[in-house]
Amino acid sequence: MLNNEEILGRLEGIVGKGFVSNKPEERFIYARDPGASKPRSVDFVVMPRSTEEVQEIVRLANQVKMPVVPMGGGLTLSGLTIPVKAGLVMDLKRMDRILEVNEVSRYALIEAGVTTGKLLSHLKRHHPGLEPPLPDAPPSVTVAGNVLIHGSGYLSQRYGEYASMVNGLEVVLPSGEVARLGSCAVSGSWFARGPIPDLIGLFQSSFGTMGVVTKLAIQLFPRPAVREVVFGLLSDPKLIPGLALNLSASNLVEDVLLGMQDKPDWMKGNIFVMAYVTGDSEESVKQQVKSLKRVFRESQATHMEAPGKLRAVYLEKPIFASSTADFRKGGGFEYVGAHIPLEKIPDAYNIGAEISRRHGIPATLGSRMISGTHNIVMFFSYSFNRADPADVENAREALDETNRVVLELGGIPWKGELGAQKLLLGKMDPTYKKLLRSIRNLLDPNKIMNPGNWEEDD
Amino acid sequence: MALQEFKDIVHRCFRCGYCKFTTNYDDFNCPAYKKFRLESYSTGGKMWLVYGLMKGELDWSPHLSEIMYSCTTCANCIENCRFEKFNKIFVDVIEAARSEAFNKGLTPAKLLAFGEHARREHNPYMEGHADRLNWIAGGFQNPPDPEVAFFVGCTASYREQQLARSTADVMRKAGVKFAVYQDEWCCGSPLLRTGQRDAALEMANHNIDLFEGLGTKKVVTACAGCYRTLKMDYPKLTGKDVPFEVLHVSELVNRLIDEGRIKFGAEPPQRVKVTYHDPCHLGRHSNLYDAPREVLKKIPGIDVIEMAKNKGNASCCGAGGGVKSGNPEWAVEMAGDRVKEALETGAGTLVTTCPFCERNFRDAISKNSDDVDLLDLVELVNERMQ
Repeated sequence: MLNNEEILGRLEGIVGKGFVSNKPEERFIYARDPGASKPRSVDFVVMPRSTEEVQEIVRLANQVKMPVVPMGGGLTLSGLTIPVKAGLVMDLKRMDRILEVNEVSRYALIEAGVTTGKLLSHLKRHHPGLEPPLPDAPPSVTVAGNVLIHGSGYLSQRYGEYASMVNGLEVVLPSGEVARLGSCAVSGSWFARGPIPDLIGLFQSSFGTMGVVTKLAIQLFPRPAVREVVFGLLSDPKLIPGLALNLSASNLVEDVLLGMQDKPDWMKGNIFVMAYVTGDSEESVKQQVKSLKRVFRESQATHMEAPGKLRAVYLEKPIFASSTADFRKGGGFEYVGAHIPLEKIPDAYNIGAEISRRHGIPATLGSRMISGTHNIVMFFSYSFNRADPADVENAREALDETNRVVLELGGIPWKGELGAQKLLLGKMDPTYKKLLRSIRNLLDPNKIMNPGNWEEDD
Repeated sequence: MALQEFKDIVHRCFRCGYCKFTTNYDDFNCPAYKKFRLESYSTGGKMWLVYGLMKGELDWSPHLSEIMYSCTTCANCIENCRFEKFNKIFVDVIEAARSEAFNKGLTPAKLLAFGEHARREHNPYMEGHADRLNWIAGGFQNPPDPEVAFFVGCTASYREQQLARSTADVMRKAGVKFAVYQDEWCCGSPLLRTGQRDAALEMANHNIDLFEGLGTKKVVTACAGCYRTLKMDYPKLTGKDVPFEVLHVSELVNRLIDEGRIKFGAEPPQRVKVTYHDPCHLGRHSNLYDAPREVLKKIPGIDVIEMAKNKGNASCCGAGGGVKSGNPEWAVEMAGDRVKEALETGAGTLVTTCPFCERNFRDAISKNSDDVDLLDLVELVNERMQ
């Protein structure tokens, strides 16, 4: 068995001396993320530049039975890129090439370290007619990271979850072999996900436990000439399903975000609605806004004229969502993201607000319509002061309680931290669980891929 | 400021990563992150490391020192961080961390060497103080009642002497009564940027006393680093207002053109395409973007073409923050990248307003055999002035 110095030497031989570290400083940084998870131990950080380098690292990890934790932007907030059983964090952000943009089949083939900011900017400059999926996250998050944690965002009401916008993946399996999934498994083009048995899903929401995604094809969408956001207010969460169904039926909206927060005071108890419409001209958007106001009225929502500054905030892409992080002047926040059936959303708002208040945290709740009303993604955000351990623990407790409530409501926590994963496994159909475990054992007999995740026992 | 003075704020960095980017996210614009790519080298990473130090979860080490010194203090992070309530502190925190590294004996030897030399000879270039005015051929007699003091700075005094001469020529031709002083010391910028605060304070106190003693009301400098240091750092460093106005030469020249004291010759037969590089200390640090551009536009026969990354979004030349001394190859690599951006505009002339940028660009142009003319704005003005 190799000792740590020998492993370091081998890693340096693969990626070059500057892109691997086992020094305390890198181990410190990669042992934590901006969320509320406790720091955990890291042995090495390595930054490969190519699929071949990833293969060599995975083979080495297999040889020495060392955990491998793939990382993109590292901003899941739920500790998914912090090793549970120490080992090696594989920071993929040097793999940042945009390999192809197909304007006709509307996809981009990119490496796993391409940030959403870079893809957005590249398209604006070279393919101005196209837009990428962009989560409500800083531009430093990677496209791959977002779709692999089952992300969604501003295009999701119209086009679906971002996870479903993946046409294909290149994956380094735990054995070190490279697999191509999606149409690229058969064709030279990365234009579609099927029609072949869909194995892409195996690598989504599995948090790096099945392999290391090195390339992917992501769908792109026509950029509208004009986009507008219309604000509304609902007086009671009970009114949300009706509004959502009416908006969905209207076919007017590209994206719908709902929110509830205790600050400022006038917002307390009300639901803030942000509905986006798009069009090919100012005139067509104006007409749609008019129609949208009618839908608001029919749904007992009050239309709100918002100040220009607020409008600008919500029209910016990517939206500056991280402002939530400093609500308590402490630089920290984490949220339970959860997929919840529409009929349970009013309960989710009321219970979420109650949990927040009980923990002394100003309620900050939100939700987004996905594919009409077929799914709602809910956000229960808890800000905390990173410098106050009791405050961080308080947020952890609120997160745990929320995960339990979500499951009781019939929802599913999204990109959940270790605690949420265990709660999910506790409720999961035994045969589903067995199948998942069997596939994982088959792919990764040495259990090197992000071990500790999706496991009931530590 | 001491590092501990930031203890109530530094943890508020979320490490969201805006600080790494250009304003439109098309590239990384934090020189250290772009080069080293490990999160620890980003500004957010550095803030977290500093917080780790404050909490006692990390100790000082040569590697931590190397990370802290891998910053050109270009302020791209300040420009792009979205947390307006605390984003102004980043460069100050890094400089305070360097000061702590200095106290722990972890400042790189090359930087220590120029600091020690500056204390003896008042310049970081290993030159003698007695030679400070050697750039003036045939000596110079200060007028009895000078309008301005020309703070020449060490780079123009010892390395980029054509800039010192051009600045003096321009002022003389414009009829500005200016003085230069043998007893000028290093402004302290290279010392302050590299954590050698006591030495920087010594320089600041000396220069303030010098000008105060002379009754100087206006100091003009041709160096972006000196400008920032005299204007912004001296008050913070000494805890008192500086008793004179500080002008960058581009501001002075712009005024002199408007007052008709600088006149240019007839438009040359061929127009010249020029692109302008914003020095970090003048641009992002001091918000002085317009004066150099206005001067360029007032010179007949000049077409100014902006680089894709300009003003607050400009790439750093790579020389600042002690990197030119501590990591010269990387510094020239960054300058080479910036020269490429200049060449992409189609301009045949790269103009800047900082001798330290100019020096680094010159090294890169020479290394890469780039086909571009390099000039300081004042050199161009001097060439075209009647």
